[in-house]
Amino acid sequence: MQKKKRKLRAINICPYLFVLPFLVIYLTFNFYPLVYSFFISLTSWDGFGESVFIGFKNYVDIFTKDPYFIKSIKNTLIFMAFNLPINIIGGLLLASALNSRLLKRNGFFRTATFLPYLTIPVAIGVLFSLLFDWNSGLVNKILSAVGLIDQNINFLGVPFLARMVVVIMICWKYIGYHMIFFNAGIIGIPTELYEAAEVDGATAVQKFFKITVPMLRPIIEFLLIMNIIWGFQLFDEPNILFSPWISSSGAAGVVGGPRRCAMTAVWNLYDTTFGTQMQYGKGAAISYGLFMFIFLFSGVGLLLVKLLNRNKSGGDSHEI
Amino acid sequence: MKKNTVNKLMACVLTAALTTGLTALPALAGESKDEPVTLTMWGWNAGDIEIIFEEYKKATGANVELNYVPVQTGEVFQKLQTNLSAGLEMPDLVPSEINQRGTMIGLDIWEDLSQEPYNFDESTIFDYYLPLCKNDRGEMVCLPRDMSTAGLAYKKDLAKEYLGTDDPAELEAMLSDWDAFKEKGLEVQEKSDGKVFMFASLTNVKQILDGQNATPVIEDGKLNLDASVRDTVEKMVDFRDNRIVDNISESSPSYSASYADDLHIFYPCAGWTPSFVIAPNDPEGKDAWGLMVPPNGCFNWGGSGHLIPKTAAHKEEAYQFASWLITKEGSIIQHDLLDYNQANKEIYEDEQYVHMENEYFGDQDLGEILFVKAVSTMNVRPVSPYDVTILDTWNLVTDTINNDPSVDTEYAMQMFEEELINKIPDLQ
Amino acid sequence: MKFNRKKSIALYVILGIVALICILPFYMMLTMSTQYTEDIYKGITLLPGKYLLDNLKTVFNAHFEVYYRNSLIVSLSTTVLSAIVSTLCGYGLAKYKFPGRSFIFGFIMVTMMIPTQLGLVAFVVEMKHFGWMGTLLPLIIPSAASGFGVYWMRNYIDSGIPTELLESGRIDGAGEFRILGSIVVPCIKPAVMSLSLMNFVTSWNSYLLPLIVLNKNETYTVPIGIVNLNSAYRNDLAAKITALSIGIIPLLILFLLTSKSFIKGITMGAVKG
Repeated sequence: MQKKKRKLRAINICPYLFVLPFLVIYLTFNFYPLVYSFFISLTSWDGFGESVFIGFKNYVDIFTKDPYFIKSIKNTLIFMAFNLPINIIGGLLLASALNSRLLKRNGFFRTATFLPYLTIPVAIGVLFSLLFDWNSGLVNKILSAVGLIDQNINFLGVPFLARMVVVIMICWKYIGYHMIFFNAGIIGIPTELYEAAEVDGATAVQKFFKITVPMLRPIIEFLLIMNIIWGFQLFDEPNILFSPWISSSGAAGVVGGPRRCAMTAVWNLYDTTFGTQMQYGKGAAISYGLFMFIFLFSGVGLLLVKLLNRNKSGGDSHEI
Repeated sequence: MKKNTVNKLMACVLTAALTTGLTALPALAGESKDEPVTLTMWGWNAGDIEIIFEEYKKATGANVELNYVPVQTGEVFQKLQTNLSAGLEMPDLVPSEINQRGTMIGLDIWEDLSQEPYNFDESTIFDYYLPLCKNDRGEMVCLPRDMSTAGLAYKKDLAKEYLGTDDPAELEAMLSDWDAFKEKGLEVQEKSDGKVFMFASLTNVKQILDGQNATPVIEDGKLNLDASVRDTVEKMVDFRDNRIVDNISESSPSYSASYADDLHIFYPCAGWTPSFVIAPNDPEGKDAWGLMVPPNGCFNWGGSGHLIPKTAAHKEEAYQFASWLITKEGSIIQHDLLDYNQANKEIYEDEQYVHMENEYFGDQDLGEILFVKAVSTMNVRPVSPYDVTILDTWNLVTDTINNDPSVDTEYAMQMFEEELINKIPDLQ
Repeated sequence: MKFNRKKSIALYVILGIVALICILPFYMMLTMSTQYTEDIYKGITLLPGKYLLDNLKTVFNAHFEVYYRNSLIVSLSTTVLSAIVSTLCGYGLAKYKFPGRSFIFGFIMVTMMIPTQLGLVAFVVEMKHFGWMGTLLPLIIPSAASGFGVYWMRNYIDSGIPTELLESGRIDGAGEFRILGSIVVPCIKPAVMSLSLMNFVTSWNSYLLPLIVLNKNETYTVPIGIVNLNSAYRNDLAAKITALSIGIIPLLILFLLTSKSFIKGITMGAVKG
């Protein structure tokens, strides 16, 4: 009897011990700076010298005065509107193709399509700016050699096209990554399901929509939420594409790309704080404003997932 | 077994990380009297600086060592900001490129080098440097390093073919102002069936025209765009519309490649351009280039300098080194060893140091333009605390004019104004 | 049968093209590292050039091996620490019911949504008080606690390890730590592998933080070192790309070594969300 009691106590303390290292490190090194930043966001501070308490003025300013906060959120959403479906659908199709019984071996293809995820962002940025250059880019050369165009396309100068190059960059890097997740899910689907469907005379397309997609729903949901979170933090790829990294002349690129069309929310935050401006208070306000958006959108995403689950499977809701 | 090795390896790495992390600390502790003082210096020309520093020690017997921290040009400003906001120790010498200098020296954190105990003698450097080295409170906080005068380089064969001569004096007479330049540019387009341009990149046009305009963009907290920016923007739009300038972006690879083609005639050219831009980009272009005074005269382009933070640990020693670099003695040593052209005025009284040849320019004396004509005629716009923002705005506007043919002067000017008002809240 | 064969060939062709698109940029990087910077500007060629040795010389003259060593130290320590911390926390959250559990989990979920750049300034101030500036520690210790890592391990342990297994261990009289060490850990290796690979890649590619906290050449990591490969006035792109190519090698090796368990680990980390 007493032994059992002691055991119970052990169970009570243990989970806290397990969680403790994470919490200690997290609270000290990640959470404390975040809280501190909130206080910075209530001040006007250029990074050194006196900081002046100004209440919520920074928050009011970014929503009413500064055109770039809303614009950068809009840009981020545009990127997300392309990246999210392309990555998820592309990854799903790729994984299905790789696991098709028509293929004898898929190891090579799987590795090859995952490789882009491993590249250093800077390398992709350099490559893409060389490939899509207006005057000497390989893409323009190929298009005109094939006879599709008679005037070179200004990929990196026209806002819409520049955005598309960023989308291509990101999808090139992440479709393989998404594929790996779906690949894992597909392996887990019992083959009997497909065999039974075949007996009923189902076509490949029918099997895909009736078996593969529903079985992979948890993964789709997971990737959806993660994509929203990651998507809002997009910064590296557009930044490097339009940075002076490849410039031989030391010329600075345009912050945010042509007409700031590729200035994402985090880029705006970065530029306000560390880039061409030194407005730490405003920068902190931008990050908390951004956090609101992320919270809102992920919340909506989660809600959608929950609602869909309730409708489809009646109560078998997944906890994310 | 295998697992064990992996575990051990991981453990080793971890301990190594922790110990290197911790042992790196005591290095910051103070030095005793006889130990040499270690100067901490940021910069982007590792390699050369060590050679110069050794010469400095030899020449002056200073008991110093150098801790050189490579920081890229574009990142100095950013690193400075975090150092400041986190209250970190400042280096003894901070490099300052012209693009960010105004904003950097606008901060009240630098030593005034014209005051005690430094007493830097302004008369030892060219007058044109002074507005580039003083902050808005009039303090001389920056010691210039290299010459930053610039002229106009051209491809001789193209000039001969399309302009009828490759002689700099004749070209200068022919292209005495920008209207004449545009007229000739139209002729060149016609003669070449629209293939040959005067300039490759709109940024070059901006560089030269804006470099020739000394009117401040912001004066007494007020925008002064009509006198400082409008004329440049107007010409940029005009040159774009009339195909005087090609559409190559200056930060794109094709810009570099254009140096070796036979489609673009003129490029801005400072003292460092021949060896560091033309030589690598046009390796077969020996004796193929000429240098002339651009329409409306020479301009300032680039220029490095050194700043000493008020909170630096070794201000005296830092000043000794940075000012030695632009003494007559230091300048001569750097010139002889590394072909550097330093800011010291006196050495250019000596024919030997005025004369500057570069094989890509045949036997033309580049120094006559860059070190004699330019310094006496150049009009330089003083640096201002708003420079970083203004430059960023210029980049945006230039890029927009270049990429969108429908953008006219009014639109571009409006963009310029909105952008500045938006970024600089206390502007009137 | 014939029909299937045709389809099969078509599929091979399509996947072949996709694979080519994925690999070609790597190939181009390798060829660029054998060329002269100014030749690269003139246009990409797919044939190797003759400047590999010169580029390598530039790279190693800049003490690239030091940057490499630093990056290895940082990435390996981060990966190991993060694996330990995430496993402990993920296990605690997945297999115990205790007051505050859902609060902690919700808290971790929310923190994943905050842009990491947000707390940078405050973080740097903090690091200064710790006396860690200029050392590699700010790059290692804080990233040991990643919300994603905990989330990942929790999912895997939650769905991958039946609670009965743990109960039977308890009935046999094993302590809680024994159970974790001898029952749980052997089962979750694939998940640890996949998490570690992702963490390693992130840490290896990290740029902004090292740029700010490192202030000595001897402590620079690979991405910072690469950017500093410039000479005074010239942007030596070819040398940088050479360095980038060398920089990717550890990631490739790591992936090839762990790809089997990596893929297996993904299976369960994500399947049960």
